[in-house]
Amino acid sequence: MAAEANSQEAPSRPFALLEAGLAIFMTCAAIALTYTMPELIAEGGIPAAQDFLRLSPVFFPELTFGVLSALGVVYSAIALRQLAAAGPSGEDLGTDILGRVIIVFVLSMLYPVIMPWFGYGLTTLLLVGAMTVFLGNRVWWQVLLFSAGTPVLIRFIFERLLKISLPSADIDAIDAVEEALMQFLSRLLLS
Amino acid sequence: MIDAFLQGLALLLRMDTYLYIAAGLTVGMFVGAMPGLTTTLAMAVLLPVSFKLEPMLGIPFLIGVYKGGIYGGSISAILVGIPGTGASIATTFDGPALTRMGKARKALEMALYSSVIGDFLSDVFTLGFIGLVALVVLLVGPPEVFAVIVFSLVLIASVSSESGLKGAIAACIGLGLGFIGTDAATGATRMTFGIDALSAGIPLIPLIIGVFAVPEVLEAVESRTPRFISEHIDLSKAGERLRWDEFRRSIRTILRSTAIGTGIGMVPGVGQVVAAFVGYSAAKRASKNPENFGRGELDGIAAPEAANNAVNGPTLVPLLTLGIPGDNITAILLGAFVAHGMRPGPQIFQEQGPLMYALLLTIVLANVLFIFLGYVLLKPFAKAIQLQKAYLVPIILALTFVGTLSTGIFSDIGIMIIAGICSYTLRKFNFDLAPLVIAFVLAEPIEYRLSQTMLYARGAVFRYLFVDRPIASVFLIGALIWIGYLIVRPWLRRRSELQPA
Repeated sequence: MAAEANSQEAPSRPFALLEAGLAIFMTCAAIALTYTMPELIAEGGIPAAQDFLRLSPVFFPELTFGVLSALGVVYSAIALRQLAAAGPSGEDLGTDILGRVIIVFVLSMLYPVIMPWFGYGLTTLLLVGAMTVFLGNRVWWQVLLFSAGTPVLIRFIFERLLKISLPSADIDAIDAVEEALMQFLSRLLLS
Repeated sequence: MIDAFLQGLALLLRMDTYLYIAAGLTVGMFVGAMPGLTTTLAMAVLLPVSFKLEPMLGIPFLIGVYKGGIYGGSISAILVGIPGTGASIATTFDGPALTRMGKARKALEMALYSSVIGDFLSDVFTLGFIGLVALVVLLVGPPEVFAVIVFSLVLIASVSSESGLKGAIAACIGLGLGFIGTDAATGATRMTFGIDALSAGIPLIPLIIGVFAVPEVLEAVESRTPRFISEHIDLSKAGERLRWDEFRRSIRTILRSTAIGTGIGMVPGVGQVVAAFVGYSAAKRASKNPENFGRGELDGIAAPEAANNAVNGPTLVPLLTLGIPGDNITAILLGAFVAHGMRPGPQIFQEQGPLMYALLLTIVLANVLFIFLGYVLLKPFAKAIQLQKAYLVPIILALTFVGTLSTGIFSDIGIMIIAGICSYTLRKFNFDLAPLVIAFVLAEPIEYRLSQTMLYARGAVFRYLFVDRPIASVFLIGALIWIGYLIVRPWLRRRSELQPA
């Protein structure tokens, strides 16, 4: 318990440095938004309504980011004090953890990029397959079965049962195969 | 009110509603039982499914996930001492000890029965009480609603987060995001930075999925362990069933905890975790054998489980009558109501009375399914908590994407990913994200109510709010006193720490 409390009070130096950076960034962004808020409100709307209501559209955003700036200053002060007291041990993000998170992040970023070409089904098959392998399953037939079955099942539930259309592929051949599969499943399960 | 109630009864005569509740309960119990996954994640991912269904199917489905999830957390808490959800932390005090004593089955059954009783009684209370609250709320005007929203936001930001400062920062970020887009009162566009997609504001569905689901997926992949739990579960040593005399001894505890949970549930921002701890400590204080608590006492299971499930129903009171979600789960439920074209608030019982009562009655009746499914699925879910991450995480990731795609706007995926990465970063620095989402959904009502208040005030808004409207002034002064206390609290703590030294 004591160790836990200590680790909370004195985080590791890299972690404290990151937190101080986040606090300062947040504060600067809030101050900048407060200062520039009147320019961020587009001209237009109904000036008569604004006059009549006497509540400018700038009021609440400016107030919110003004309060956030003040809170950010306090947070930055606390984070900088923690940085000064930070020891080498304690909570740490860790390079291994960061690496794994970045891999999933990259996979997630690639997913919407390739979806317009490959469509929902094939893109999800690739994502699920990559994630399954990444998380430690290397039995090829299990990976293949699982990564092919998941998008088929999801597509069937969302498209055929819930009537939510999902992106189709630009490549006609892929689209035709997926559509034929869905029609087969619909005949099998819904007729 | 009575007419609406009777019309609501007529809406209950459809079987598909119960099928969807059963599906929701099953999904909720499964997700709740998995230590790495939360009820919030399941609700966020399944929110788009719910709004493609009719309100009488979609909303009970989500409420089933909610109820099942809060109970499901007790399964892993009892068997391996790892709470499936935060609400089950107090169950770990006695659950693993009972398992070691060969009484796992008794503990699991006690958790189920006390959860269902707590949930059922608090739902009945909610059903009887909510109509009266709705009537009272109708008598108050925009200044009072504005003041209650301000008070609730301050309370949620300070209570739900470990650090009041971080909760307040999260709430301000949520409000700031909520103001992006076209101002409903004046039609002016704000903070869109020239991006057309933002002129309608940040959409709720990708934001909710990004904030609640993506960080959990990323946290699940952080470790190289193949499963969420490494302990082996041997159900052959689960022991005998719970006997009637053992259950009867805990009835008083269950009723006490139900009352505690019901009271706590009506206060925005406090939630199941606090209710479970308060229920547990109240049971320990009232017990003739307090020394047995923590060493395998059945009352130590009954108390937190009845209390945390008793929170479920009453959280709907501020949500449905004032439009104020008390926690992240009710914020998601608010999203479901809005998606179905219903805006919870003072008028909802006037405009959609029969539907509201039908939904509340469904929630009460869902407890019958809850006890049946809970009993049948106890063993399979106890085994399922050993499922490999390699199967669970890819499915969840695929569902987060399909949930976002179901809005029909491809750019929402970008919003979901950005919200997810930012939320993951904030969670790493111990930010609670519930105030962010709650503030986001309250941004529009708070501004609209103040606009109306200023209209009534005719230029003297401070005098109007603090002198002419006593109820509003009580809430606003309460909020100011609470903020003042939060500011001086660190100094008071430091002083009290220094004194013994």
